Parts: sequence; C-alpha cells; structure tokens
Amino acid sequence: MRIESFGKQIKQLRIERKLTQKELAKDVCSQAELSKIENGKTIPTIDLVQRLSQKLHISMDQIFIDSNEVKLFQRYEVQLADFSRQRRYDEMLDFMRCLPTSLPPSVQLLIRYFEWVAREGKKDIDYRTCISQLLRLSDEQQMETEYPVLYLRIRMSVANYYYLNSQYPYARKIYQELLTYDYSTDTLKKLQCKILYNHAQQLYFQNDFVTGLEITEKGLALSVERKDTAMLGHFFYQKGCFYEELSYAERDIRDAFTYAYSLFTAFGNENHAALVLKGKNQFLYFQM
Amino acid sequence: MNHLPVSIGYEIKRLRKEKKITQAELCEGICSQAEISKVENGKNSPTIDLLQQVAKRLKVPLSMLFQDHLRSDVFQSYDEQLADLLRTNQYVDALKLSEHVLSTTEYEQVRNLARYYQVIVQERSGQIHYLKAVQSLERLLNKEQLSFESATLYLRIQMGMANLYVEHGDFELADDLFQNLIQAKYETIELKKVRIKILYNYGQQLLLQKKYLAGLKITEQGIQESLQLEDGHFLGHFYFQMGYFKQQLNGDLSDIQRDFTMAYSLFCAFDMPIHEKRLLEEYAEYVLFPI
Repeated sequence: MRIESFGKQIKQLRIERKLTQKELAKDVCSQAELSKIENGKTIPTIDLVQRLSQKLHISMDQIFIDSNEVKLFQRYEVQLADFSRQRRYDEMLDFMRCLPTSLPPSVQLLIRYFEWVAREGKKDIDYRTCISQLLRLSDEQQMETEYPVLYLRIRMSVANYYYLNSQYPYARKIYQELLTYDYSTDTLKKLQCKILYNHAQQLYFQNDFVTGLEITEKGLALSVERKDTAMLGHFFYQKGCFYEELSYAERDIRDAFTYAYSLFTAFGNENHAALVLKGKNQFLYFQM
Repeated sequence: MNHLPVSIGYEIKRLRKEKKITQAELCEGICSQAEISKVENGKNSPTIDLLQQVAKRLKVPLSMLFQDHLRSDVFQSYDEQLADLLRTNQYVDALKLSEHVLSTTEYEQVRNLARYYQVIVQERSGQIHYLKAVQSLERLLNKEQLSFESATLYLRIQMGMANLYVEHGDFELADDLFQNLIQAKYETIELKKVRIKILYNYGQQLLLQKKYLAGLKITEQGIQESLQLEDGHFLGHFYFQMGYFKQQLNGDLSDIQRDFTMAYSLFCAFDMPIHEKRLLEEYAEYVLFPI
C-alpha cells in the first residue's frame, strides 16, 4: 500500500467499525489530528499508528493492507478467470474495455495480465509473444515486491503456456524457480500449495511419477502443517494416481483414493467426490 | 513499555540478513549507517517515510516490516508448550514455566498469556477454588487495554471462564457467556479462527447438557464456517460431534457412519493421532474404513 492512501484506509476501517472520529481519537490523538490523517494531510508516526491499530482491533501488518483493493482484486480475478476458463475471450476483452479507468494499481496489473491471456486465447498473438509479454510484465518494477500474488500467478501461467505447447523443459524450469521462492505470508503459502499441485499435475502427464510424487508429498505436508483444507483432497487424489503408476501396494493406493473421496465429501466438494467415485470406484473401501 | 521499534528493527535486520544485504547497502541514499543501525537495534523510532524506502530496498511490502515475528514467535511457542503441559496434566511444570515467562518476558501480551495459564493450572491442580479462578480471569479480562492489544487473548480468557463453568455444572452461566461470545464481532481471519474454537467448545457444553438439537445446530455452523475459511483445525472435531449428536437423536445409521468416517479421515489426514485413537476407542463400529 502506498503511504498516501493510508488515511483513506483508516477512515474506511473506522466506518466499518461504526466509530466516529471522536470515538477513535479518544486517548489516541486530537480529533483535528485524526481528521488530518484521514485526509492524507499528515503522515502519522508509527506510535500513533500502533495506538490506532489497537483501537481498530487490527494488527500492525494488516493496517497497511488496503482491504478494499484486496476485495476488488479478488472480485475481478474470479470474474476474469471464469471468462478465461470458458474461453469467452471476446466478451472478456469487451468487459475489460468497459472497466473504470480509476482502478487501484494491483487491479490494473491484473487486467493487463488477462489482456495477454485473452489475446493469446483468440490467437491474435502467438504463444511465444504472450510468454515474453507476460515475463516482461512480471519483471516490472515493484511487481514482485508489492504484488507477489500476481507475480506468482503470472509465472505460473507462463509455465502453463510452455507446457501446453509441449515445451516441457521450460515449464519445468519455471516451476523449479517457483519452488525456491520465499513464501513468507499466509496468503503466499496458500498459493504455494496450488503451485505444487499444478507442478505435480504436469509431471504426472509427463510420466515423471517419482518427482511428481515428491512434489505432491511436499504439498500434502504443507497443507497438513497449516491445517489448510483447500488442496488436501486433491493431493490425496494425486498421491493415489502416482502410487498406481509406481505400482505401490494395493492397500496404499486404496487408502489414498478413499481419503481423497472422504475428504472431498467432508469439505462439501461434491463434484470432486463424485469424480473419485466414478473414476476410482474399484479402489474405494466404501461409498457414502 | 513500547516494543514497536524493537520489533520493527528485528524484522528489518532479519529480512536484511535473509537477503544478504549489508547495512551500508541498505541505507545508501536513504539515511546514515549510524541511523539504520539504531533502527535495527530498536533504539530509534523510525518514521513511516523511512520505513517505506527501506521496504522498497528490501523488496518487501511495507506491511511486512510490522509483522512482529519476535513477539508472535515467543507467544506461540509458550502457548504451545503450556497447552501441552496442561493437556498432559503436568501441572508443576506448567506453573514453573508460567513463572519463568513472567520473570523473563516484557511483552505484556505474553505475560497475560502466562497469567491466564497460571489460573487455569492452579484451578486444575486444586490449589484454588474454581470460583476464585473465575474471579481471577475476570480481573485479567478487565485489565486495561487487554481487549485492544490482544483481541484473541481476550476471547480466549472468556472461553476459559465458560469452560470452567461447564466443568463445574454451572451451565446457565456458561450459556450466557457463550451466547455473548458468538454474538461478538469477528473482523479478522485470526479472530474468525478463534470463533471456530468457541463454537466447538459451545458444542461440547451442549453435549454435556444433553441438548443435542441445539448442539447439532452449533456444530453445523462450525462446519460451515471452517469450510468458508478453509480451516481444518476443528473440522474433524465437528464431524465427531455431529456423529455423536445424531447418534443420541437416533438419526439414520448411514448419516452417523458418514460423520464418524469423515471425522476419522480428517484426524488421519491432518496427522492428529490422539484424536484418531480416541475416536476408534468408542466409535470404531461406525467407521467405514478397514481398521
């Protein structure tokens, strides 16, 4: 977050918590000073920020993250990813053309990313052009620092373009880079799970089952450590597939697929539970 | 005492070393090396402008400099150690550790954590009467600034009180507290996770009171909220509770089997052997996995 938008952030947090300026300023600073901070006319000292964060019940690292921008980013990300998945590239480009011009920087970068994706999808541009544009975008200043989520996402999609066009060594190289990335926050660790999953998936289709299984195990361990449900069922499913290819004991294969099935059910992910039931029925211990 | 400059300095130094940058390289064009050295040692309170430039050079978002690794590491480490000692009934060691924390740590939040455990352990080991324990927790709760400085601890102390009421059969008082707690606002992800724990404890209380229908409702809510947060900490516990409630309510056998089976697979998948064992001791007949 840029320091200039800090005042807006404080104001928004205050309003969300239904506090008046007077209530928030009490025991912290004068109301006049708070007003100046909210209007971006004063940059507060860190001690003052700390006292504000305590009254707003938000941690010091969170107070510098613009939750509005994050929400907006997530909303457009879901919307654009939907278009892309359904290959509705013309609509996607129309949609992006009609967006307001005053969007926050991270959202603008997101849109630039999806523009290349849409143009490659329409075959306006070659996949190689798309890759070099995406690499350029991800190398832009501040991208890795300020928007690591987007940075990783773009890298992941570059790997994917390589993969889809059978440039396996290049795809693998990108993933190897991503494996050594420093995933320092919770959000990034969540993304790390997804990266590991995709990487293992590609290794499976390249018949490199030994390396693939290693990656899956890594993702599993990370999910377990963080008690994260997002990819756990998927990792068990992957594990089952690798075990199958590597001729593990029947019991191990059955365990993995049955866990996947049971976990998908527990996570309310009925589509995937049904897929396991359909595709790996012979390995399941039971049906629920 | 204010720890903010200390924690920021610790964080800057940690990141600088991680990225293998020298102090001279870090401060070039930003400030003098003497100043950055003071900032790293927590002797100077830096301005936000300076921090923004430093963050840029370290290639991290500004918010990262405020991650209080030092404190949260200390807090988490003691929390885990004390919880372990409590779970395994090692009261003498738990008290020793709390005292150690109080005599060595200056972080008020960590000290409050130790005070909280002290009361719980003293009550468990019969050193103080339970009503006195409740009183002490109440006093801790009313300490100035506690609700601001650590909303998490604030909620946990209340939950601790409610649990004491439950253990001693004062269900009405517990119920009031739990009702209050689930109506509070939970704005951050961290607090939403505490709320899930509260829902679980509330479900346990309703279980003890044999209020199965009400318990089932709370449990369902816990499952829903866990899934929304993609948080697996209590998911196994919730399915276990659900299976138990349905069993008591004479629900469908296939439903009960499903719940215990999901609980079992969650305990196994998330590597929680103690819970897995406990489930199998009493409810193995419902688990569909071959055991």
